[in-house]
Amino acid sequence: MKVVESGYKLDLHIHSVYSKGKDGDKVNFNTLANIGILVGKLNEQGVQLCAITDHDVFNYDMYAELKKYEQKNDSSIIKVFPGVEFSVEFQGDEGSSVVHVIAIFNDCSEEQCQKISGALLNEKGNIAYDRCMAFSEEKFLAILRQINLDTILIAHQKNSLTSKQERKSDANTVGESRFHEFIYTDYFEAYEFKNKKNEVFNKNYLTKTGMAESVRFITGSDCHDWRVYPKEIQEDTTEFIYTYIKCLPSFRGLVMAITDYRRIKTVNSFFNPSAIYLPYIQFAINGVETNIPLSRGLNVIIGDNSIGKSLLLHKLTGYSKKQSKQIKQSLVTSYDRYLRNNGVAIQTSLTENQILGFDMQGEVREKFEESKIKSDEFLRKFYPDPINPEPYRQIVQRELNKIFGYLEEKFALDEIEKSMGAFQIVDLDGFLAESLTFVGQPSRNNKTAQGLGEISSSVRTIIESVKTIEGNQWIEEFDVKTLQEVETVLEELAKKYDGKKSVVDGENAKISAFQSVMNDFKQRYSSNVSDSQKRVSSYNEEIERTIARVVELTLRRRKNLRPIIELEKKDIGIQTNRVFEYEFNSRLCVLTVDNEYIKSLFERVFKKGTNISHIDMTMEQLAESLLRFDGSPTEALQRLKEDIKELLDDDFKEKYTITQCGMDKTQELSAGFNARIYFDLLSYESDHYGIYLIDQPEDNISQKSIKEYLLNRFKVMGEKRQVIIVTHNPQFIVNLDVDNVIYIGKTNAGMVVQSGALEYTDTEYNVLDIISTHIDGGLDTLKRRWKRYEKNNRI
Amino acid sequence: MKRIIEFKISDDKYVFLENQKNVFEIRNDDLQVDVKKFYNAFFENNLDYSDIELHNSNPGDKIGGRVFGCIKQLIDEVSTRLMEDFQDQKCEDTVETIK
Repeated sequence: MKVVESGYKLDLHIHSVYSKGKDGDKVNFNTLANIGILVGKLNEQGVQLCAITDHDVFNYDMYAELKKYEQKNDSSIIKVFPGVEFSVEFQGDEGSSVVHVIAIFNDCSEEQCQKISGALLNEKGNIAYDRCMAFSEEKFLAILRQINLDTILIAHQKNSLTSKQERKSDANTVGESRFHEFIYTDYFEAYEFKNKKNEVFNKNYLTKTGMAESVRFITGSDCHDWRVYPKEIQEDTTEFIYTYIKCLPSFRGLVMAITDYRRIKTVNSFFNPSAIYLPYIQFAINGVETNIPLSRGLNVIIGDNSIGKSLLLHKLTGYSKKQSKQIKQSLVTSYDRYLRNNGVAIQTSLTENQILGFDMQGEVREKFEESKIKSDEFLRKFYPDPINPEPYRQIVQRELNKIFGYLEEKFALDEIEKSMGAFQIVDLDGFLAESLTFVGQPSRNNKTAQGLGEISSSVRTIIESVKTIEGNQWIEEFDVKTLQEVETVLEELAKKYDGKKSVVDGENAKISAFQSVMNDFKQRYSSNVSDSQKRVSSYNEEIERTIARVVELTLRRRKNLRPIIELEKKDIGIQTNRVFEYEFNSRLCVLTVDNEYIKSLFERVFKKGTNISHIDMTMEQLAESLLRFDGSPTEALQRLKEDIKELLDDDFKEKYTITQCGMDKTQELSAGFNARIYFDLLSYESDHYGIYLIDQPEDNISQKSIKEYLLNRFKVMGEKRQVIIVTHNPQFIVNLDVDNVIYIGKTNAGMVVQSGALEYTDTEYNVLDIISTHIDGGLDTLKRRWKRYEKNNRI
Repeated sequence: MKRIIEFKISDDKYVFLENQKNVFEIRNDDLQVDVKKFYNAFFENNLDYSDIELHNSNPGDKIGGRVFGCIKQLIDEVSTRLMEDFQDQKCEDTVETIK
């Protein structure tokens, strides 16, 4: 067995008759001859890892007898460890205190195990107590040194840590100060409790004191009568709860499990049995077929740069990123060439349905870039529907149209005013010849016609919108009738303005005809009259033209009212979809429209230091004020409209953000935080059971963040689905406590693949050695875990 | 509000004064009427044109009389038409309201 496949049910605290010295008749039944009763009970309970741990005594025969049932077809027992329950007198805060400590020894050497019992006895063959029915701490450590086996120490802590009452033999009887010393020096690998109720109290205490990662609890039956196992004795009413640990069933595995709180549970939920998973990767090197076993949980691929780790992920996913155009054909070709050149054939390929997601190197960061935030397959489903910007934009546009319309007319009138010209007052006293004066040249009213046409056209647009609403499947029948009434009113309105327009059009047609006739008549008249008649006519026409111009200008100025912008403040809501602790927001870039917003639009298109208000500007001043504008003043207004349209296009664009619940939704999270969200969501994801593959999740994330949250996210992910990670970061391997490590390397003989759980070791390699050799910083990280194995030396 | 415009002759120009302030003038060497200036003087910025009274301070001056007559004609005609438009507009609004 190379990979961690399951959690194992554990009981390292069972007494035999050899505890008689302390327990008296309570253990009378637990003889070598009755060990079958214990095995039967252990089978009934499905206990897989166990140890007989007698008080200050080790009986090798009893250990060896139970060990015979290891991995037998009809036995649940997979591993039996040698162990002793020591009574150790520690110097506490206020005097000495005896604590019961279970020591579990490495079973690597039968010869060494046989010597355990001897180490506990003095020259006279009695238990080598140097205190009253107990060992001093020094003596205890000396015995462990003498036994000279790697050791796991588990201290009694039967009462919960929140309990105000102390219980004899518990670790915390040494007083708070010494107890904390035990914790902070990792004196004990774990603390043992039994009562199911205490699990919650202990967890609460650890969370409150911030020691959740420093203190590990396991349970032990402390059974003194095998007939009533897992009860301690017949009268025991405690509700016992078993501990499960996730590891390879070996002493190294036990060490790895018991030194990581995440590998210890009271339910066997380390892996999701219903999740889709790949049991192994099938491949061949130089024609030799082999399989790399995979764990149902976390699998990491390590190895030197450019050795083919990323390639392996791409190959496993059938080059899926090529379909989405995220990798080029040239990369696929070079990968295939690399495999051919190295004599490697990867035969396993996952189907689309088997994959929850595959994130290439750097892809997580890219997911949160503006253009991709909504398009990502995984994130897309979390966002609420987009907000329709049109109703808000129209409000703003309406106000802007008032301003643009005013300026357009103002500039036109300014031009008329500038070009009104001059005439000379002449003396017509001597020119009383009869003459015709062509006065009151009528002009076509095209502007009115255009305005009336726009009204009826706009009303018809509204009618079509109303009809669309009527066709909506969700609208109630009553409201359809209301809308039909509105439609009728609007139809009438449109017809009214159609009528008005046709009157104006008719007048314009008449004016055109009249102008044509008049022009013709004038031409004929001027060629048939005297010069003096012409002069009189011409002067009178000039006077008439002047009057007409002044009247037109005055009237149009009077009608071109300075617009009053009174835009009631409208907040544009943010649509939010809460997903766990995050809020997926659908919003527009602009969040409020009001007078200030309108004002800001002009400020944004004008040069800094423009003091004159846009409403008071002349065409020339506008041209001068516009940013990056070097056109003629007559083009300035059009440019202003275009610039503001661009701003509106940007401001009313849909925007998607993710915020943390409780924080200001208008604030956006940093890129680093985005990655955190992504991994959070992936870890929460439970609708899809596919495999998740990722190439170097550590990219763009600080070591601190990896430690503080990312590892936990992956840990949770690993309990729900199979995860395959390519990484160079030791934290992802050792601190994440992965279930399987796959090393890809190259020797003179060609490609090498080695794999197994962290604790895996065989005659050829040892996974921890591989990590320390091939991962930068791996050794430092591992040293912190290795000290567990070296406890015998350390003490 | 009644506006009183006084017409005076100075050395080289004919001047129209309103509240003793020169609002419009015509040089006597060319008798050119600058229409923009005329508009600015009497009708711009919603100046009240409903009751403009022009006084000729030099009725004996022949050319001055022609200048005065021309400007008075322009002011009267413009004011009348503006008033007519104003009345027309009022009527249209009333008709719309009745409709």
